[in-house]
Amino acid sequence: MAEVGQTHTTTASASLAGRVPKLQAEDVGKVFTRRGRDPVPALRSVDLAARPGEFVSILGPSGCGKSTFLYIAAGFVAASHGVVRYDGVPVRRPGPERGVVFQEFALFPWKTVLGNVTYGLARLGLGRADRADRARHYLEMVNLGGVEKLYPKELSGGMKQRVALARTLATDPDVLLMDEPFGALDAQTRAVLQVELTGIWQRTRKTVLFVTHSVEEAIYLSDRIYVFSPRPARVRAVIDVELDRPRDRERMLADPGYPLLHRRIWDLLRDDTS
Amino acid sequence: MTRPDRSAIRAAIRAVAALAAGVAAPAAGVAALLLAWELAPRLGLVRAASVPPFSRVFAEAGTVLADPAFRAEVGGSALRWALGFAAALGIGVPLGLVMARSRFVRHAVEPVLTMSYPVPKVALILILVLLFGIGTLARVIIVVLACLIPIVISSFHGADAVEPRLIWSARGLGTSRLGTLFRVVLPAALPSVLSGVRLAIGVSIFALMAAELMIRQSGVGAYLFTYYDLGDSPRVWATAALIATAGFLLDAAYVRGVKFGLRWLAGEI
Amino acid sequence: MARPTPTIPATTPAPGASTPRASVGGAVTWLAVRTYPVLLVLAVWQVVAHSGAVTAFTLPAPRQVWDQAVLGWRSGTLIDATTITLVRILGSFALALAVGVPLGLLMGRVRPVRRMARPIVSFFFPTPKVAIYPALVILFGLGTASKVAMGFAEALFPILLATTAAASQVEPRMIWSAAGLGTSRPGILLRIVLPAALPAILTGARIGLVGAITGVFVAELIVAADGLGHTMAIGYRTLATADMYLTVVAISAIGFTLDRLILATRARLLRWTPEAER
Repeated sequence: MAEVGQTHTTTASASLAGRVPKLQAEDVGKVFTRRGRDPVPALRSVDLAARPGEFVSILGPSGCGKSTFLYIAAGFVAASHGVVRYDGVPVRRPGPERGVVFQEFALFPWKTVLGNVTYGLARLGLGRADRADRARHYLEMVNLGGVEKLYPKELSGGMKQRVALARTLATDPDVLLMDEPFGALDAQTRAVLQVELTGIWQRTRKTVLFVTHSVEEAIYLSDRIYVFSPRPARVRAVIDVELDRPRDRERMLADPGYPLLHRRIWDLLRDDTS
Repeated sequence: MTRPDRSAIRAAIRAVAALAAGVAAPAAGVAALLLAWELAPRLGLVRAASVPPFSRVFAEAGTVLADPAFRAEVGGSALRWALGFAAALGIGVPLGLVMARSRFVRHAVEPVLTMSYPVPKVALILILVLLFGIGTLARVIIVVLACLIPIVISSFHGADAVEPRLIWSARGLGTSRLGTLFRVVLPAALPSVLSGVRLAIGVSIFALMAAELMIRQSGVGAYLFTYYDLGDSPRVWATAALIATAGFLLDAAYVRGVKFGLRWLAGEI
Repeated sequence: MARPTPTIPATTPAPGASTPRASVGGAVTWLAVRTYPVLLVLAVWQVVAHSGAVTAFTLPAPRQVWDQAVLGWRSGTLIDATTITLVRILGSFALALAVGVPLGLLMGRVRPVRRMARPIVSFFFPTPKVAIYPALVILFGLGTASKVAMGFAEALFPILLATTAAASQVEPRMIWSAAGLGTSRPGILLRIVLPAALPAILTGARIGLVGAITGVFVAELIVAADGLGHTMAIGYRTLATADMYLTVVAISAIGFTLDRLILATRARLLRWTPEAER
């Protein structure tokens, strides 16, 4: 392991010369306006790019606007200026090719586990039997067997997030947009799901955009980390994580480069007094 | 520094746009309704003799308001309503609070509520007349009966949802059981109580109007239906519109009053 | 315009979710506790009627009313009146659901609809609809239509307001999830907003049902040629007091049964809610 972490000072798109990014943000800004209140700037000129199959994290202090950026990429929120492109086409609305996983799971409480996972498949026009088969396949992928008939209220937080992940994976999206998906879970469940997510990502080779405020999580999962500044957020630094894959948490923590990288990112997050 | 100026202009434009959307759309809805009322009889879509145009009813409403007989009836109705309403508050709120704090009372009262809830109280009007005569009492009782259920239920739910730690800390500070009921449980349950009271206002005016038109002794409801029997349709429409408006104004005044009086309340009642 | 509607306690678990009773004695106690108000009313009624404090004319004994019921049953008049009233109640309730739920969903989710409808709704919600009954008779005539219209007017607003409030409060991430999974805008209204608002809709429906019963009964009481309200009015005019008490019992039975049906439907439809655990 020659070098761990390298800070780019050039823009993201320049570092990707030669390959078409799967997801690309150019000068994206967002200002929230509400009747009778002062406008609140949330994002300021964000440039970001993710190559096909790449695992990219957005790391920033809580409330900095990183989720807002993800919602813009998902098509839920319109940018005030700038544009996010998916395969070169500007994003205007949500689409099944960009699957989203929320921190709060956002499962449909009136549907069973199987009903939740098949929901998106019904929209794709699959037959009933095909839907169930495919849903079971993805439930197995997230290590969730034998709970098909339960309602979300009967599941633990970790199980709910597995269902939400399976629901999103089942429609086979090209890009996974994940908004602090493990933020509401306890430390152990979180660690287990991180390992599982890495496994799934390595098998399916989807492009992932992952929002988090945990430095360790970002390093463990990502190929590249975009460090956001506090609100209004902009990209403070882009850091390549050049740890070997498949990664092992113990080995990662023992790696002499890891503390340095952790420290450097931590400093970037902390001395944001500007 | 031109930014403050520009943002001020933008804010002004936004405010005007919001005002237009917030006022124009609702106004359009109301205007459409009134226009339909005005035009339908004039264009002969409905018989003008039975459905007079809005302008005619509006003018007639002035006549009704000036009628001393109507004014006297309003006073009588208001008095009967206030008596019944006050009695329902006096019984309903304490009962609801106690229900939440005492398992025995709760188990005793809950079946009564569940069974009496789906019974239309108006069905009892003539029975009450039979039992208590056509005087004031029967009509006051019907108001009490109509108010009681929403008030008891909302007080119970409000008090039942009070954070137990709030009560424990008050008890720890030396407040008596009865003291906690009025110093902790009631204030904490107040938002729920107040929304129940709002429902009760609506139901009880309905019940009073129904009672007055059945008993026909006196009251606004009796006034309305006397003119209905006489076939004076402008007077009927005008009186009905006035009663409807009064119901709306009472509700609006209640909501405003609560918001003004209890500014610490979060959310709507 | 969120108007929270207090939920009415449902002491008896709905049939579908009934808890198994161990013994016959347990079942008897259970039944006695749930129905004690009825037994209490009957007992007080019996005692007062025989105490001599009131005349048998003012308060006929339960037995007399029972005889009257048997008489009415044999001649068919009781069944007829009850059926007519029941049909009117169900008609106005169904109409109120058919209008209130879709309109409420639209008012909750589509801003122009909300802005247009809000002033009209907030005017008519608190007004005593009896006052409008003469207008309804003028518009719909003396027959069933004006009775159904009155029941509809009383039932609509609780349903409409509960639906509007719940529809406007649906968790946005749930809607986004569905949109991300390829659901169209009308699809979201039908597949996400409607089920998410269902608990509140059913609470509103329970209040609306009592509105429908009250509205139809009052309308029949004021002017009608048939139905339970008419029986009551005739009983009052002809001083057939046993008939009046019988009417109260009949309309109460209708109300109670329909209320139970709504609770049972609710228990079936809402197995997924956290409260449905018990």
